[in-house]
Amino acid sequence: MTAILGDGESSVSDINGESLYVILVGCGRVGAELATMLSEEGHAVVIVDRDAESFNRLADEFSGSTIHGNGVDEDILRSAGIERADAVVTATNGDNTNIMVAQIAQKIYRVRRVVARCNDPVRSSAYELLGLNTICPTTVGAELLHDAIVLTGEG
Amino acid sequence: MFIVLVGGGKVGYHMTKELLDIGHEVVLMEKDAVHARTLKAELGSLVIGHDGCEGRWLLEAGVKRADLVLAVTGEDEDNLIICQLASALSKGKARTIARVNNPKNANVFRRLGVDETVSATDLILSMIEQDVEETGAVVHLMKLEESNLELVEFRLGKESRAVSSRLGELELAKRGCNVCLLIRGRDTLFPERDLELQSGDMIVALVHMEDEVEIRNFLTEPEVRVEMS
Repeated sequence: MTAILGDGESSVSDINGESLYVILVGCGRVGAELATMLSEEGHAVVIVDRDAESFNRLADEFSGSTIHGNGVDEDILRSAGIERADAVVTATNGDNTNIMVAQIAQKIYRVRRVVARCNDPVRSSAYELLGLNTICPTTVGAELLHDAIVLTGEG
Repeated sequence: MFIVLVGGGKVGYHMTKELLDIGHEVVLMEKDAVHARTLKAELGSLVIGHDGCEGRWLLEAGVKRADLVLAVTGEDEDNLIICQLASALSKGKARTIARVNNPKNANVFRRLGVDETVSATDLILSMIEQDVEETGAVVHLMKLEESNLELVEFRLGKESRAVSSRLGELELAKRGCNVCLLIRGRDTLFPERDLELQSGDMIVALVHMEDEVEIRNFLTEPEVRVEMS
């Protein structure tokens, strides 16, 4: 369960050229994809999921660590290193789980960058009310599909 | 009081009936439509078959005028969000109480603004501790927040120096121990000064936390040497 934070490669950078220590909660398709992406960029990634099987989704390129456990459990988040995390992303398919983890990260541990995945657009008002930075892949996906149909000329 | 209860499981169902019995106005929210229908058949129109984790349904349940919102679903995450939304939507007017299934979450909930939490696990654990301490020890009934006072129980064993003394003779008040009542078998006795204490009696008292150990020793130990204080 220990996190490993290799220094990553030289290409490492966020927009300010910093290597980030990122905790990802939820290793579904979105979580696993994002984890691999960040890891390949050289960021240190710890991914948490309560289903150990879910880690099979991680690509071979993923060089971060995995923690099998419930992300809403503060002890698990601590063992993931939340006290020194630069960013926490919650990407489970449970909106309330995402909201709870994001709040623990943002309000209790004061993590600088916290992003919560919102699955059900109806819930986005709840995320907003609680002051969370949210991405709703459902809405984003719908918009992209919409644009693909409406904005693209037949050529 | 007007109470919005979220979660129609066993806890929510029985709680609704009890609260109605003692005269409160209750709305019960259950997100599972099939289960909600069963509840509705018995409890009537006070059941709302929608998810209390969504603001719009909390509003429909009347959360803005609620005195109390109880979140008693089996999911801690849900209970947290229900209480937080209720509090935000009622602009802090509604008092919120959350059931926590994992006792570790109580602390997280408090730091995220939920007024009160109840954990069945903790309650049952404290009862087990009560059994463990049966042999003449002290049981913490309740810590009165911020007052530094505790309501505690002392059980008098056979060997206790207090046995056969009159309550008044022990001068417990001088030791910072305010006896509230005495439980003897199935009887609850008013703590009269001339009440003679018996082995097995349970003294329920209000004490300062820092005095508790000393009082327990005084009450439960046999009288062998002169008490130093």
